[in-house]
Amino acid sequence: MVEDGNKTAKTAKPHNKTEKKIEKMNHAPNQPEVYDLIGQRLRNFYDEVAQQPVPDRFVELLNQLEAKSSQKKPQ
Amino acid sequence: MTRSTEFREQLIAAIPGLRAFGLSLTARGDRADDLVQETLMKAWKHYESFEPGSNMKAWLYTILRNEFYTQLRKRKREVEDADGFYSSRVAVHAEQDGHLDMADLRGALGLLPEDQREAIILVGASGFSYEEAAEICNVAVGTIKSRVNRARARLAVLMHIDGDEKFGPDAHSEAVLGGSHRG
Repeated sequence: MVEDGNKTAKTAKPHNKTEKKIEKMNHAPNQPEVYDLIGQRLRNFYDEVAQQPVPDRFVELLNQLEAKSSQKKPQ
Repeated sequence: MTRSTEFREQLIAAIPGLRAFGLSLTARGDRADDLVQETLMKAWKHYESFEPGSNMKAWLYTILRNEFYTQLRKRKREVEDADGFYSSRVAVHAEQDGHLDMADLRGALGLLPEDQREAIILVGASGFSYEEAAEICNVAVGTIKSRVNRARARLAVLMHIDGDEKFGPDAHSEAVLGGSHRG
């Protein structure tokens, strides 16, 4: 599996300068402030979806699955 | 043995997180929810392979991830992100002189290689440990750590929070690289 390659045509090919910065970053000493900031933004991004209520379709799915299960099994 | 009420409740509790993870993988809301649907059905069907008291969250995320890659292989490299969830904020900038001006996390995430993206989402957003993420992705812990570090470095640079002032190019390399503006 290609570790670094971008697989999709839509994503931009990283510019040389960017790649150099990334390599520098990779070898730079730990920067907790930067990583804390990234972590915060990641969680915000994630929470945007994760805090939405459970869509009906999934509750209905589980109801259907449960109904099927109880039909199959002799009670 | 029947599926307990607790099992069903745990499934429901996991759905929001699964949707978020699915979305970060597929970059499409409709596909993400289809993935979650598949995951729930598989979890329901294979409930007996789940050991009560063990890590259900990791178990479900593994199912979803596997389903994602299975579908991806079937689609044979169909271009993801057709709706531009990730690329819309980025495509324009990519046309410029290579300068990626992105405060936006979503845009930056979309530019990560897939394995780095899922690693940073699992560890940095979904709340898994490195060990759990390694299990879910079926790789060594060291591999996950490496992917997370690379993802962080790439995000930091793309989002211009890499403290470039400290590591910025000197005058010589600016000239060599064409002196593109930053910031």
